Amino acid sequence: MTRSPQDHLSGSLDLLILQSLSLEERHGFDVAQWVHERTRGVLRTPDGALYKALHRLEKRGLLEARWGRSASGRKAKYYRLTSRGVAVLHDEKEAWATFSKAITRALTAES
Amino acid sequence: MRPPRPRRSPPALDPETLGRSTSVEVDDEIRFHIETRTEQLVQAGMSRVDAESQAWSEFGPVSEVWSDAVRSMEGRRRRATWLALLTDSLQDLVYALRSFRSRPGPILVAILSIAVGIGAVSTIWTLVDRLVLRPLPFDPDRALVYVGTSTQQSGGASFPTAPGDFLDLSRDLRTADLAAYQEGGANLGGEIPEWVGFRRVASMFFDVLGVAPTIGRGFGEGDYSGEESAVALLDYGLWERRFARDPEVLGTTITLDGQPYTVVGVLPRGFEFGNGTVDIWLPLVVRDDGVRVARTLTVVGRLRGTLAATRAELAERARGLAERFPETHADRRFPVNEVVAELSGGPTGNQGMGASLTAAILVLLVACVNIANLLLARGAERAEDYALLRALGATRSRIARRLFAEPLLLGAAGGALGIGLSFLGVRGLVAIIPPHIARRGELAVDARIIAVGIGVTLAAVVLCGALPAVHTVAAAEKRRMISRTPTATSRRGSRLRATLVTAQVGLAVILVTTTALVVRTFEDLVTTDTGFTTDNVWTFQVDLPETAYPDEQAMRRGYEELREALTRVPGVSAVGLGIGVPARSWRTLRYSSGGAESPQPRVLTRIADPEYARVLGVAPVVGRSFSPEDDGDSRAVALVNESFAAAVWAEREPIGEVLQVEGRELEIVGVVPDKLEAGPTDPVRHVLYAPLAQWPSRTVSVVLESSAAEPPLGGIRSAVSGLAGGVAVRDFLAFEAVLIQSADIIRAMARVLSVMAAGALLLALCGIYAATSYGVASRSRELGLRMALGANPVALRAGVLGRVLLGSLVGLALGLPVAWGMGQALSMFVLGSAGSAPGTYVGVTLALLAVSAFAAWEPARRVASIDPADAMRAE
Repeated sequence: MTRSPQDHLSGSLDLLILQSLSLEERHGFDVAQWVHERTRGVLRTPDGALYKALHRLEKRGLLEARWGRSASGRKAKYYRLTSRGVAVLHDEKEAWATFSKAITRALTAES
Repeated sequence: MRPPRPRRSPPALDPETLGRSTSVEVDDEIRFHIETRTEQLVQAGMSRVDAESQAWSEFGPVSEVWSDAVRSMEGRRRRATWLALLTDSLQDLVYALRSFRSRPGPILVAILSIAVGIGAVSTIWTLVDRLVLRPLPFDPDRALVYVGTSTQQSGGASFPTAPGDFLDLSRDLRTADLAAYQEGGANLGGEIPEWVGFRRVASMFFDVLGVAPTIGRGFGEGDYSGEESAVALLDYGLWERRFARDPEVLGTTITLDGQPYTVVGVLPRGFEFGNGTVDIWLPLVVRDDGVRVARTLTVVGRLRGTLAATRAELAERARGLAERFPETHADRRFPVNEVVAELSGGPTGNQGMGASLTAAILVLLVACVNIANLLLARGAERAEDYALLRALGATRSRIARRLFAEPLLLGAAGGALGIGLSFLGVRGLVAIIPPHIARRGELAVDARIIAVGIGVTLAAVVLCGALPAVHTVAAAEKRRMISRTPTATSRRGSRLRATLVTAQVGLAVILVTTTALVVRTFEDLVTTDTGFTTDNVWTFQVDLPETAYPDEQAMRRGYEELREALTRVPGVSAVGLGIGVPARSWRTLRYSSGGAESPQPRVLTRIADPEYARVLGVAPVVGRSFSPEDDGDSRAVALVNESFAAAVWAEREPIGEVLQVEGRELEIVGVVPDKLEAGPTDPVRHVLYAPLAQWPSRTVSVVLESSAAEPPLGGIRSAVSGLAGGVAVRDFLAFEAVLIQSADIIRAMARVLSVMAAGALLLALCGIYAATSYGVASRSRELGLRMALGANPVALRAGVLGRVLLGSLVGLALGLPVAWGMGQALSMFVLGSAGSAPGTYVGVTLALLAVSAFAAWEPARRVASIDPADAMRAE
């Protein structure tokens, strides 16, 4: 069975969003741009799914949002990590690293 | 550029977002995304149109984002917005009012529709409420019950109870209080004697019912010790009619069949119990006659606990009685039934009421369809406005609320008008339904009915406001989010409207068919030839008082006096006396033709003198009729009708045969043709005729032939009042009216249903008209285009008409089976076989198609006058 890159992404979209917000506050469009750029366009997901994830994370209390002005002067909704979001991101990143290391090791093992 | 530092405050308190709905925020967020992405793509060299569509396609389905977000966040905002809701609601009402003013025509139709629907339901509900839900103005918390006596032979049917049994049943009963009464009637003495119904009631009767006299006293211990004391309570109606509500009546003496009674009290206005008129209440001392064969008491009770508990306790007592009296009581049971179920004019009355209520609800539904249709059309017209409102930040629920403001206002106006109509309706109802069902004109609209009216209006408004509101909001949403092209939604709208027309026709067909069946049945009944002579024949009853006519000899003398007195009345040409009149009352006697059948069969028996038979046209085909010589001293004789003769003697000639009837030997002297002795609603029965002189009775019916144009009531009254003891005339009626009276309930039902069906048809007509004209108006662009392209206006018009007729046909296809079912139900419960007359169904089908075509004709005609150029510009 082959899996497309998108499948991996949708599982880890939450993680990417949290990561994108770990340094600064961003609006949804910015988050989308960040995800597309950092994954080098390999992982293109419908933008709608990204917003769903944002709202879900907001509801879980990992993000908080407020309305502000964008660079172009438009009204935009900005998201940032809550302290809980920071903690979850930390844990998830570690879990991901362990997980991917294990998988990589397994796949590259000679025998 | 870095945005300003965010404030760490919960969203619900953020002034930027306070009072704005989540869905708006989500929309704003999405719009920002789409615009930014479009801008980005345009800068990369794409055309704006392509860029925007690319942005949307990258975004994927919007609705998912939306519904998730709204679900999760809407709740948090709610608390902060209730105040806003209130002010908004006021604004909505003002807006709705203003929009009513702009187009009053359809609004008036809608208001009238609601008014007719609510008026119909409230009117019929008054009847149901009064007769079924609270027939008795007594303590509602403890149910009143009838306790009857049934035996194996009675097949579970309930009959009156023997006094001795009543005493045993009521003594120290734990689960209920029992009381008993006995009905009777007597001539109330006076200048012109009047026949009055009375009830003799056992002690505790008024306590069990919880009723006390409005003036004077009730019956006390003293009235029940030893002999019955000669005291009487007056019914309020009698007090009003006969004594002009004079309180001085207390202590005066009235005479019943010449016996004096002292008036001790007057019962409150509106008090009544059971069927029939009761003018006077007398005390009854219940005595055990030892044998307990005569069952004379009607027993009522008030439960202390549950019905089941009382049933169990009385079953226990029945077992006790069966042990004490194994001969007579082995199979005696005492069934307990709630009083409510027995007071509404019997099964026919119940059926009539059920049918009327169903009809009223159908009318209301047709009205609802009209309103839904109107709101749908208005919603579609305003989808543009609502899309704008949405763009300005109004939430979907906000728009839905605004959409509900209209139906609420419509409901308020229509409901108020409808409740007003029900006042008129109830008056009409009192005039239409038979007096013994109307229960003496007590039907009136009261607070309860108004409450029901308001409740039903609210339900109707929500029912018919919800669908268009949802539809309109969805339409507005689509326009806002996607494009301005209205095709998709308006097509759905027109489908919805077509469905509503179909529903309307379906509902109307049910109502109209049922009505047609009932009307037909009634006509059949009225035109049924019972076989009796009815022209110039009048009937009434008299009761010879026991005081003046104590024995059979005296009764026969009384008959002579009566005949003589009546013959002297101007215009009267023949006077017949008998017991009961056809279609109204008769005796049922046991007979035996020599065999040893057990139990002995019973036969409908008419006791009549020779003139009675002659006046009603009962003449023998074989043998002779009665003669004055068939009197108390001569051999007992009888006539039989043909079907009875055939049943007993088959091919043999019955003349000269002997029949044992109630222990007497009757010689058959003649055979008369079959007639509908029990009335036009009943089949031919076996009938035995016996001479009055040999079966005398103190209560006799007079049938009298009069050539006078006016009913000779005055002359008859004064002639009869000359008899000894003061005799009154009662139940004076044309014989024809007596025959038709048995069809009274059906006639009332036919009238009520006719009004309902007419209402439903009218509403359906308006509804189809409105829906078609809106349909034509909203398709004017398409139709104009087709005409510009050379389409034939006649063909286009035919197309519009065809659509309406197709919708109607579907409605007919759905409604007719239901109507057929109702017809079957009707013919099962009431009426014989008119329920399946195919002509009725065909007629109704054609009529409804004609109505649809008529309603759609004018709007369809307008198709031809559409100016293609105008139509295109208008869009």
